[in-house]
Amino acid sequence: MDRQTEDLIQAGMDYEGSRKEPPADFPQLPDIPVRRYTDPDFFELELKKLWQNSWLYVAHDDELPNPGDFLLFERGSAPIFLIRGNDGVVRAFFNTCRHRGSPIVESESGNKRGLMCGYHGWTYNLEGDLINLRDKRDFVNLDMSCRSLYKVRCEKYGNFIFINENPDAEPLLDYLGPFVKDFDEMQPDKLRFVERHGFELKCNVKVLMDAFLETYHIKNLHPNTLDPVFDHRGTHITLWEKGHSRMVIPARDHSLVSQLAEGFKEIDSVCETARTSSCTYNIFPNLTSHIDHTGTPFLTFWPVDIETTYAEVHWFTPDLEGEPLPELWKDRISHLDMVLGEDITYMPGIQKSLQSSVFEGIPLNYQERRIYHWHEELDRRIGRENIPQDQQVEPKLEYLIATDSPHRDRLVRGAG
Amino acid sequence: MIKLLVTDRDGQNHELDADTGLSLMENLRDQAYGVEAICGGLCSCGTCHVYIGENWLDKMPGVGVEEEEILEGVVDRETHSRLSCQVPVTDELEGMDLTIAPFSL
Repeated sequence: MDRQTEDLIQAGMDYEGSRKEPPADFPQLPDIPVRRYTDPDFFELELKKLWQNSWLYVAHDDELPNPGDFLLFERGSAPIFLIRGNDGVVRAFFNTCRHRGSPIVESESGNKRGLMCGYHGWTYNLEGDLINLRDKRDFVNLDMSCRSLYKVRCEKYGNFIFINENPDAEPLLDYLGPFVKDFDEMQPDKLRFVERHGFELKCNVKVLMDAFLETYHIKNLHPNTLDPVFDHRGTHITLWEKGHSRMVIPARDHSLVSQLAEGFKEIDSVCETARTSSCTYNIFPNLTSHIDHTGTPFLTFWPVDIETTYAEVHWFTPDLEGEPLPELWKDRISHLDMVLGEDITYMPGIQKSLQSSVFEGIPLNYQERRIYHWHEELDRRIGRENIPQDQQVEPKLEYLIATDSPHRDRLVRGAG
Repeated sequence: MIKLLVTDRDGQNHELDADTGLSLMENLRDQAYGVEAICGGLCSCGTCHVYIGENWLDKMPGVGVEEEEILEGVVDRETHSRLSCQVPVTDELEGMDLTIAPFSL
């Protein structure tokens, strides 16, 4: 971050911590309609217009180091696999044989020298081209060049691999926009993969998403983990275009944060703000991360069905240059899992409430405005005209959306 | 067990102790220089393609109709092309020479 941005963020945190009420021009936010979390038609729209039309983080380059290494992802709306070609390039394909749709890879990971559908033996190379099939005499005029595996857009930021089902999507780096400007100081091409794990949860994916967009819950859910270190009342928020946002939570005492870094390898280029506070990002729709000079997690949340979510934690370390991963990492990984366990305490119960006959709308306060921003973007993606009126979120926060330029960075008004 | 002389894709020669009773592909696929054979012997992928040495073709069963259809789809087919999954290794092939066909995936 440049000095000016860091100063603005510090001034923003000071302002948030000391204010007696929301800024005078902050609008009353209408309730978020509960049917958005429970209506099957809304869920269908979300799958088509959001999940099949977004850049989604799936894996780190280190997870498939050799030609033929593959990873299968059966989340989101369709099964998709990544595979590294003999040319070293990682590609993404729908796991769908062009004949009758059988799966091409059948395990979560492994290595293949070529790809064959187990149903009738159609054979593809690692680049997805159909190269041979049985009983060709019975396919008259079959143009094999038109039956390559369906490609999925697959692009990298540093060593992070993202996919997008929309072939016409804008380039990944354009989409990530201001996040890249901040996160570049993590040197994403040098971060190494540590591990990933996940768990399923009985709630709509937005219930989980919402929880990672605000700090209002810290005192209740994290009294012994986060609250002793971070002062949620000073949380400073920057809303960006395309639904992305940044949230910086001041530490109660800078030394509390620097203690957490002891014993870990550090990235020199990371800014002072990230070393003395919690600098958190949401990459719309489902990626949460932060800038941390000792390494960072990516959290990703995926819809399994309307009331089931798959949550995944991915960990990355600064390049250890051949040294083994410090033992401290075990504690770090289990500590985050404990905090996540606190975060999800009420989620299945919330889902039940959302499905009840009485609960109609969710009132959000000023410090929960990132949630509202997220939902506004969801409506922009789906198209308001496609959403029943009583399930729409009325645009209220567009005036707060910051542009790329720090000189025009419109932080919360009153922040100085 | 018989001896076979195999020329790999880099032109290197190897002497292979081949099990009779298995197919030629099954003998080749575990070698670092061998064939991909990704369908595992189902005669559907064409990735166990080899060139059989002169004078040895008549010591093995001829090309079947299914093998012929797959061979029509492989690149670099020659008159002495065979899918090694369709060639049983027998004592009669003692000393046979063959060449692994170019990488086709």
